Amino acid sequence: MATWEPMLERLVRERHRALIAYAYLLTRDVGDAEDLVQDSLVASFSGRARFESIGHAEAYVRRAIASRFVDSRRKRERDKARVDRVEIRGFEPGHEVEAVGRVDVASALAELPPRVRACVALRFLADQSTAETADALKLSTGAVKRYVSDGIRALNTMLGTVVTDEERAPVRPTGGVR
Amino acid sequence: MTKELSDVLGAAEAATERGLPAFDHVVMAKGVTRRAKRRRGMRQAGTGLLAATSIGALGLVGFLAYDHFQDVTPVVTPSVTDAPNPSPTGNVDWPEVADREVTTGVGLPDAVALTGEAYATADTGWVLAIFDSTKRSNVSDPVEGERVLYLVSPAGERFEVANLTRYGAPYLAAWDTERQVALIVEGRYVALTLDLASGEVTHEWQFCGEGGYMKAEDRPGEEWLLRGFCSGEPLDGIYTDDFTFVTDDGIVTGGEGITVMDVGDVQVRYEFEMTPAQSFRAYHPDGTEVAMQPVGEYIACYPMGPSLSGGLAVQCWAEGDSVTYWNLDLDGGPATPITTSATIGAIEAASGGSLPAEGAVVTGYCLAGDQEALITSHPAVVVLDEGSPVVVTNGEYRATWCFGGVGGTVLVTGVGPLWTWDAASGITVTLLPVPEPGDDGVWVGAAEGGAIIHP
Repeated sequence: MATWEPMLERLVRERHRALIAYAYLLTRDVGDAEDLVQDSLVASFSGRARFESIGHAEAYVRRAIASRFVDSRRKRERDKARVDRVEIRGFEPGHEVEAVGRVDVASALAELPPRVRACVALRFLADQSTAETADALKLSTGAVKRYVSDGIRALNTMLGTVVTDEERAPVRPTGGVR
Repeated sequence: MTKELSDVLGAAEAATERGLPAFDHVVMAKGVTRRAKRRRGMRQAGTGLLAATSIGALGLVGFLAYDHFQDVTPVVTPSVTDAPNPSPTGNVDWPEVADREVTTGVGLPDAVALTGEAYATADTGWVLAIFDSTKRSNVSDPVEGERVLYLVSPAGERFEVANLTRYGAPYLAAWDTERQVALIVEGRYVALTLDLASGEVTHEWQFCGEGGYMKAEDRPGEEWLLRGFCSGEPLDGIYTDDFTFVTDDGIVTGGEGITVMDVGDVQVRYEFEMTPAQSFRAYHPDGTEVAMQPVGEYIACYPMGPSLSGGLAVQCWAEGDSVTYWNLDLDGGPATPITTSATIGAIEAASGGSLPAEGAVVTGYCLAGDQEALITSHPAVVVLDEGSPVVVTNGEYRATWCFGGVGGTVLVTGVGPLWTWDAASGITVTLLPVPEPGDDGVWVGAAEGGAIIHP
């Protein structure tokens, strides 16, 4: 058995559900989230990347999920119709999801453009830095800062939340974004 | 009490996880492992999507390219030792690929034979391209040269996949990146599939004895969506690797003078030489058919592909006017401009007064991640960032066309060379160079056989 296989099996066994949940917050469709996670796992473990730990591997896969999500949405473009189509197979969101703010979190995230959503997910749910997020999504750091800033503002409005951690409150850049 | 956004998002993820149905993780792990193994070198069914550009568009490019050729192109020499390290832990068993010769000859770029490592690690940003070393001149007939299929890394390392000289005018139509199989169309008569691992042609099909037209897209499994015609009859449909017809259910058929493009799950049918109001029709998956609103004052528009705003990007021109680009709405809404006076003004400002007499000629449009790029006849690539044009000059090459892009990187060709240009860094990487033309006006080599960038 190759050295990467035990790591992959362990990641699926221990973190698969968390990865699906993370992907679901991007896609808002469990089926799409499953596909996204599977494809990202395959891509992550069929390339040259070598992982030192489960945490390392999970962070890598989360970046791949966000990147692939943005790519897939760009290809389909017409994602708004999909966002409105809520069809979740055998899935009921937890009460916590529905109770926060004026709308549920998944719906609030769905209101964000795909790139903004992916940036927010990487920064807040995958603990990626601005540079790492930019690298994962192949964006400039200025663009990531802008998207995260836009996302924070929109989510705070919709969910009634705040961001007090300076590390997680990128300042909207002035001037060019490139 | 006001909550921290990070806490709320974390709670939402945790709650979502708790609400998920049960998964069989053993089966899941086996499935993912199997796919990862296959992708590491074995043949396997998979997915992908890349389309060939049209003969009509290439004709325009060829015309513009021929007319504007003048730039010097430095050669990038590949080095196996410069290739990325296979693994920090070493001892990686790369899949075996067949040994093959490296074609040498006047005008051909330096390359090495395809390696197992390159084969297995070719991923996003890698490029498959055909280079034709035919000698060309403004004053005499071309002299046939070698035609070679290369796999090129994002760093510009070239690996020869196959020599295609026995085919007259091979064009790379599609690339199944999961199975590493290329679909190549030879001129107007023959289509063939080529396995990258073996370097061998696996199937060949003379699709038209009288000369037709074909383009292709990869489809899941060992299937392809072929569009084209022979003797005026459409060929459109799903075909297997050995070119057995499977079905044409749900596929909008084209034909001579008709182009069909996929924009997401919508098929757009364009009919040449129809009035603008009749040219473009969108066929939605739910069966609805929509006449797309034309661009008013333009006499003709040509489809380029999906646009950043979710519609169809079209190239339009009016008599005596520069080419402009527009977005056509798939639901029949009004067309919106992609090129604006601000874009043209930015190009002109960046040109430093070196624009040709006809002004900025925009020859290509490509999506590259969340960027849209316009290629101009001036040595520049114009990237539109949400309405704010950014013009980046490329001192080395005169850009004429783009073959697509991924993640902010555009695959660009000029008169012969092929290179990538990164929107964020502005860095260009030469993938296929051509030598400087001699005093006799003869030059050798061109990336005329098409190129595809791994999505």
